[in-house]
Amino acid sequence: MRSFQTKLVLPLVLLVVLIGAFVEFYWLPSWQQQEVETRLTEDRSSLELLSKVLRTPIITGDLAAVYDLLDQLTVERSHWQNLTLTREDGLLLYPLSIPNEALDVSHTLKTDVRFQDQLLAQLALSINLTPYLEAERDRLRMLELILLAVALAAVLLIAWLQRQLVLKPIERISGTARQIAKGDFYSPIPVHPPRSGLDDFFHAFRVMRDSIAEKHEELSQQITERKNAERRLNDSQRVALLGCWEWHAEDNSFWCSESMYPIMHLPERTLADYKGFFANIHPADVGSVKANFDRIAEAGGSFDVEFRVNTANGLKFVHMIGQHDDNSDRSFGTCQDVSERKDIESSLRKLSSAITYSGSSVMITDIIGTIEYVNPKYTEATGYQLGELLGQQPEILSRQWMSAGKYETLWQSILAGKNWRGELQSLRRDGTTFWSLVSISPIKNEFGELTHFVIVLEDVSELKQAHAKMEQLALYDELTGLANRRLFYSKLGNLLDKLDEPAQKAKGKTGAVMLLDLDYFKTINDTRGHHIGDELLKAVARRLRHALHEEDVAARLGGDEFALLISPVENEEQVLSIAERILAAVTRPFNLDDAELQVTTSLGIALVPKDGTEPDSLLKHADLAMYQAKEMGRNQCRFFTESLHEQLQTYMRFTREMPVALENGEFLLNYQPQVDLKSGEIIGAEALIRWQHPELGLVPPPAFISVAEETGFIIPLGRWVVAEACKALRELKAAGQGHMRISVNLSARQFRDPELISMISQILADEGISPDLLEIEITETLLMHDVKQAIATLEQLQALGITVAIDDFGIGYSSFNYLKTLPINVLKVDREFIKDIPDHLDDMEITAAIISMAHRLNLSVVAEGIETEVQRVFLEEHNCEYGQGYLFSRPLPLDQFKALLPAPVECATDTAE
Amino acid sequence: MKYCSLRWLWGVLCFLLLVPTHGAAKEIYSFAIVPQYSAGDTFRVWQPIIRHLNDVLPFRLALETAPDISSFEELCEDGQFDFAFVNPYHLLWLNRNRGYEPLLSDRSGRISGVLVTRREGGIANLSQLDNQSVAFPSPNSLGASMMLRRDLSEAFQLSVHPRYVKSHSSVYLNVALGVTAAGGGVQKTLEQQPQHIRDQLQVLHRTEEVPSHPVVVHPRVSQDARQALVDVMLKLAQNEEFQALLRKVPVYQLGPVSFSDYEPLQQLGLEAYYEEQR
Repeated sequence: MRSFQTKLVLPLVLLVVLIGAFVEFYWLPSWQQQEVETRLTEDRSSLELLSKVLRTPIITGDLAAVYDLLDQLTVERSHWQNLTLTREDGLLLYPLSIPNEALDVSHTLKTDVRFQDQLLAQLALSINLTPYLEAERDRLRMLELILLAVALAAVLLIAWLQRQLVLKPIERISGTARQIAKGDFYSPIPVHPPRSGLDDFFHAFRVMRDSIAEKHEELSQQITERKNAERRLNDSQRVALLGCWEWHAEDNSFWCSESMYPIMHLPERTLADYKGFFANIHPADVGSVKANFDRIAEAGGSFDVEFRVNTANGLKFVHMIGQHDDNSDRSFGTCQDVSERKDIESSLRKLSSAITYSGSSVMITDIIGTIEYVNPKYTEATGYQLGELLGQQPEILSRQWMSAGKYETLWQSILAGKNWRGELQSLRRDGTTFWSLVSISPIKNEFGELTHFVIVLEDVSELKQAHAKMEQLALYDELTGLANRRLFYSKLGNLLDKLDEPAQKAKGKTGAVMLLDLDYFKTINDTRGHHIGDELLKAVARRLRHALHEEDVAARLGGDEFALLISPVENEEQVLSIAERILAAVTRPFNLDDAELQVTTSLGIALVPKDGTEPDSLLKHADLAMYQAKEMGRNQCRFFTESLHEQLQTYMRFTREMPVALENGEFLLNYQPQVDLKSGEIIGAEALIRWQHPELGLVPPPAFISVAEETGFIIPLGRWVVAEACKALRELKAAGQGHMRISVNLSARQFRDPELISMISQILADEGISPDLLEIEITETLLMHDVKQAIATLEQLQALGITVAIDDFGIGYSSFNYLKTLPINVLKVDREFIKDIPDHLDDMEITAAIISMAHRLNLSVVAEGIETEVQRVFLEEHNCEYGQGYLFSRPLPLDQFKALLPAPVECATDTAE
Repeated sequence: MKYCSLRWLWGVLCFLLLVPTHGAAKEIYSFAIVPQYSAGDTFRVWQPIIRHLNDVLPFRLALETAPDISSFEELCEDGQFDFAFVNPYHLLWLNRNRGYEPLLSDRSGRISGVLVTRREGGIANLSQLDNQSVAFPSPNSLGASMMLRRDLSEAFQLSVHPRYVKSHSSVYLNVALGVTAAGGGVQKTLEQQPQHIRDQLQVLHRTEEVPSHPVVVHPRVSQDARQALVDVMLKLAQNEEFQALLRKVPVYQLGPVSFSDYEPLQQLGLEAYYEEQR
């Protein structure tokens, strides 16, 4: 670049030097010469002119004018060394005097002043041009030097500008050009100086660069695209297990794509030729393949063939398509490894067979449920023909055969792509239905879109029936078909749950729980046999069922205990009317085994939710109400009341307090004397339990015995009573009253206690009491539960030597018929019969009959509740052996009782009050 | 060519536009000077004076002169000049024939004519001048010509060949160069000559004194203008610079004059030596 600049600048420098030399050595001298000539010519003509001008002043003698003129001229023309005017006679007119100093005179000019050929004077001019010429030359030299300097500066400026405006930008752009050559198209194009005149050049360069870049980009893109296309083709062929080939039959040249090698099981990296191409084709197929090649090579056309290829892993299937192009005389085509497809086809065949011959009914529908396929099992199960079903909507999925909720759930589930499994009703061709366990599986296509549903049906009618039966067994009473306790609790729980719902609360509708049992069912069972009892229960169940609405629930809780759930009910009156309807229904006579039977029932009612919000409390309350109904004389209904509730509270309190009371000695025994009615002697006493409660005072037995009975506390309490009685016997014996007999009441629960016998015998032994002094009183109802067991127990008691008495005889279903079979010693006539003596003849007759009957059965009789002398006399007259009652004495503590007794040594004929 | 003519035309137009406005503003009066020296010297002396006056005057003065005294007198006698600085004797004629009035003059001294010879010319007394050529500025120059010629002719009875050489300076040069044996001038002009010329000259004779050259005015010039010129010149004469200019004329003490100051000239018997110019 510098040499280039030198080349550009050097001629300019040379030109300047040449011009300088020319001026110095040629032009300046010649100019000098010329200048001298010009000056001389000028001066000569000046002198000539002067001579003419001076003519007149000289003639007139106006020397002042002459001097004026010449002085002025001399002053103006510095190179005029000396100008003289000499008159024709030699008189010097001008100047006044000749200066003495020597003059440098280069030229001398002379001219005459004449007037009409007469010489007046002569003008002589001495000129020195040297200083002038030197001055001029110096001036020109200076000019020359300045010009040279300016030229030089111009050259330098040009060089600098050249460098700045042209060379440097070119240098920079050369760098850019080199970068472009390296492939960098995006380095910024260097900035060129403004107004450098290179705008067009730079613009053109930029356009060229951009154009090259664009072309390069296009080319790169094309190359990339080409490569991508090639790669994609190869990839897709490889993935598709597809290869292509080309064959020129003329020169037998053969080409195939890389992907062909694994398909044809050819060794990699070897160039396949026509012959090699067929190397691994199964020998059985190679002939036909070659034949196809030859055929299209000769006759044109195309072929499509499948053949097998031997590989190390066995056979693979290849599908080949070939075609011949007549214009280029070449055959070409593709090969595809279709082994997988073959496998799939095989699998599909298997699967298809599996479905076709499946033991389950299989249906395939499209997404809107149109049937596309059913297997033979389906047609067999439903009786439909295949043709009748295809294109139809399956009944099984229709709204008609399932609840709305189920329908919604099913379709929502399967349309969401989830499997659905459940039981559905299916329709047979004959119109009958059957239950199927149905599994619906949505099928999605490769895009995840639902396309079909596969519906597999298993006939579960039998299973369902069995299940229903099991459910029946689990939730229903086998005997009556009513709900059992479990189901009843469940229904009641549902009702209570519903009550919590605001809608239900707003309605204010409630329910009622009724608990009832048959009065004296035990007796019926015992007397008429279990068969009749069962029949009776079934009949009662039917009547209950009929008396209720469909939505009400009747359940048998056990034995003869039934529970009813009535809901909804408007008010207590409605409940009461229902209860009365039920009572009436039960009271109507039953015809069982050709015998008419009439029963009554006691019914307790608890209202929901007034009397409880828990099934247990409701039933407990209904139970309390029922007991009250029983206590009030049976065959009636009672609502649960707060007082009953209080009873319940008491029940719970006593339950809690009694064991403590026993330990604290709050229980005590009072003794009511029993008197020999004939002699009036006290023969013994009935031990009656009392509870001296620290807060409640003396609690009567009915208030706590039933509680003790129910809670089981009666067992220890009974033991205490027996033990206490025995202690009393011992004391009496010690007091010399060894013949006194004490009777103790046994409750039903105690009576059934297997430990009873051992307990009593143990106490008797411990106290050293003779068993015959102890009498056990039992009620007749106690016997009705299990007569055989009762007899056995009684016999064991008797075997011990203990006397057994039947208490409260006459008020139950007492029957002499079975009384005679019982091992008992004493019969106690209930105070109910005694109290109205002598006002009620009936009672008197009954009492007489009882006494007479007892005697016939070798039983001694004790009359209870004797309060008057009349009664005592009546009883005595009827040979009633013993009596007890207020007529003789109220129940007394042991000490007081002892005080009643006569002194031991004396005969005990005096009886106390 | 066209461009040049246009430029020229523009110049004329500008001149026409500008000059008349000046003309309209200021009246122009001619002020002529008798050429006692060469024309160049006359202008060199008077041009600054006129410029000073023009700066102050309500009108404008145009400086004029003539190539020689004779032609000047001729123009004067035609009455062409409004103001003029003239030969005192010439005033007599101008006053009588044209009505010119004197206004101002140098009051310092009066003119006396001098007769000079070349110091080394060998002429020591007047008698040696008989039949010799004598240079005079012009025939009608009062001191330098008329008075001297009267003295030479009447007092010394000498006959000379007068040679009229246009100006006082020429007179002194002719004498110094020896062209003429003697020359007539006035003291004032002699004193104005360069030293190297004066060194070569000697005065042989002086005439009696006559009044100095006056500034005269033509009767057509208004009294205001006359008065204005007098006032201005007298006022400027107080100025140092203006005094220096006047000394070159030479005027040493400017003051007002009247025709009566010049009337005595008529008694000098110079008529014979006066030459009518026409």
